[in-house]
Amino acid sequence: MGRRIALRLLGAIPLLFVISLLVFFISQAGPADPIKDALSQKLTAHQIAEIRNAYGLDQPVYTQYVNWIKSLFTSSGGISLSVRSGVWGIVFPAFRNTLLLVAAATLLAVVLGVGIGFLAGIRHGRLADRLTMLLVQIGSNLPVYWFGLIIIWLTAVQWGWLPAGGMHDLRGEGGFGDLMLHLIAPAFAASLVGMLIIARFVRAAVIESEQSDYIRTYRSQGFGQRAIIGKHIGRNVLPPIVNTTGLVIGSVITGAVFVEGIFAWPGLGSVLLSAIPGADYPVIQAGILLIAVTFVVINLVTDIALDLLNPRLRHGGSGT
Amino acid sequence: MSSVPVERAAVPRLRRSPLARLLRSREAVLGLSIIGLVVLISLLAPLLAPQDPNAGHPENVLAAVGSPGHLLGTDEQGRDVLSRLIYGGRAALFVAVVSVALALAIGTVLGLAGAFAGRRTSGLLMRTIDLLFAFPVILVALSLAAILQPGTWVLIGTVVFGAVPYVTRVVYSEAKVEREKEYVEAARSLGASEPAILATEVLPNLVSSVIIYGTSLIGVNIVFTASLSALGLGVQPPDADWGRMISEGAKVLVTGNAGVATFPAAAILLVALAFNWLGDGLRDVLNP
Repeated sequence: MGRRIALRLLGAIPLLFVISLLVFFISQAGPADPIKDALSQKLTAHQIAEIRNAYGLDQPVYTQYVNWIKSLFTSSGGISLSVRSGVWGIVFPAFRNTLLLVAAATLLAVVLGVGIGFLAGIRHGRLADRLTMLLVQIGSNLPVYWFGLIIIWLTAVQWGWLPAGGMHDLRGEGGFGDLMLHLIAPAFAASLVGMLIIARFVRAAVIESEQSDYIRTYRSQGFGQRAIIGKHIGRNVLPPIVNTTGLVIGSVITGAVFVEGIFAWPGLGSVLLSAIPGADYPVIQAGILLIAVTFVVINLVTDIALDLLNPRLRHGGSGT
Repeated sequence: MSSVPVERAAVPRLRRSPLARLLRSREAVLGLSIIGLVVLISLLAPLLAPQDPNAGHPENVLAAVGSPGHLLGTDEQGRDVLSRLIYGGRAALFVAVVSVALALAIGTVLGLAGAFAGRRTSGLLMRTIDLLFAFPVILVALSLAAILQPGTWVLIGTVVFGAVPYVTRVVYSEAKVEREKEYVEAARSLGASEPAILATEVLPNLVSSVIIYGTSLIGVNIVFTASLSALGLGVQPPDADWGRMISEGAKVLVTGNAGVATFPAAAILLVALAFNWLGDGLRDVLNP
């Protein structure tokens, strides 16, 4: 077991290396020369060459790569080209906010997705199931951007339950409750696609295990519906739930970036979107790398969780 | 000889052409009609649109639905919403069809390679594909936008990247089943080379699955690219595009002019559902 986990951790290293190469490639492949674009109006060719030298842009590509990696491990993380301040100072606070949004959205996707899938699955074929699946189909095909707008319109404008956007009430005390009030609507919107993927998965898993021989045996022995669901079906759908949670994390991250702007959530998506027109590569690269590394870490954690849930591995087996 | 009439009676029902069977499925017909209609409208947009989709009329902004000359009202710049709606599907359909076709081609090659390559190559390939399954494709969109500047190519690249792992998986698992069948063994024993077996024996058996899968992928990606365009990564202003129309209508949605953003959202939903229905209908016909 421990060996298996260690192997998984080791396996992540080449992956991180490849990702860092690809992210580094962004600044190399772009046609835009940020230094030239920003300064060519004002400076002579000689002065531009000096600045390129200062940023290390005149060195061989592999030296630039090494320098870039080194700069990521400094406290500033390199210098933004557009705002002339440290990259991490711009990227980290926004990343923290995005992480909070992604965590909340994942939680909602799992809780609601499992709930919807379970309720539809145990009523398989009946009206409630068919209605739920119709809603799931419609929800899966809704443009997330518009869905976010409608949530704001309903919860903030029509009903006045929730704030229309931002992270904190600027006039109020702030605090945890205030943050949660601001978090719930964007998290719900960001979770939609992933939630419905989980719902369909769980429904299928419930139906499959409902129809399995051993459940039929339990039922014929007189076990109640509640005991069967709690003890047996529930246990059988747990690994698929962890598995799908790993699978939807990408769509939840994508969803979070989609809705940040609508809900004025000060996250990394907004930072990256505003860095693109100015070709602010240090910020773009640091932001993308940070999300990609987060994705790898979450993937690793779900893989390990699945190992731990797998009884064949848990009970001292050597694994495969 | 008495059995002959019975067989004759049975054959036409079983051997009905796939198209005829497709046309008997209600959801497939509904999906196909909607898609046909939208494709037609998109192609004939210059003839059908009552106004220039990009011409603003500052004196007539946010006209209500049903105003004279503006059946669906006007947007914040006084542009005719109906005309923009008629033009707005062009980019979305083009991007979705082109990129899904590319993804199907690449995914089929990778899936076949995964199923027929040696254990190590296959293992590495499929593990990479598994990892890419859950990859946040928004990162691809942002990276491409940083490299190429936002535009249609960003949408195509992102959809291809996002769809290839899924197509590869579908083709891989089907090809693995086919690989064990007797006809492959037979072709091999007749001396056919591995690539020839793939191209002439295995591939034709996978086509229907790939088509079914591709159809539903188009629907999913029309929705997805609309969101990318709404973010500003795809179709650029002033071009009319359903996704962009949603983000342009965002500001006025909460102040009572819901139509500007909601009509394009409804169009996206309808077209995506239509592709879903067609995909389901195709599944019933081709993979009964």
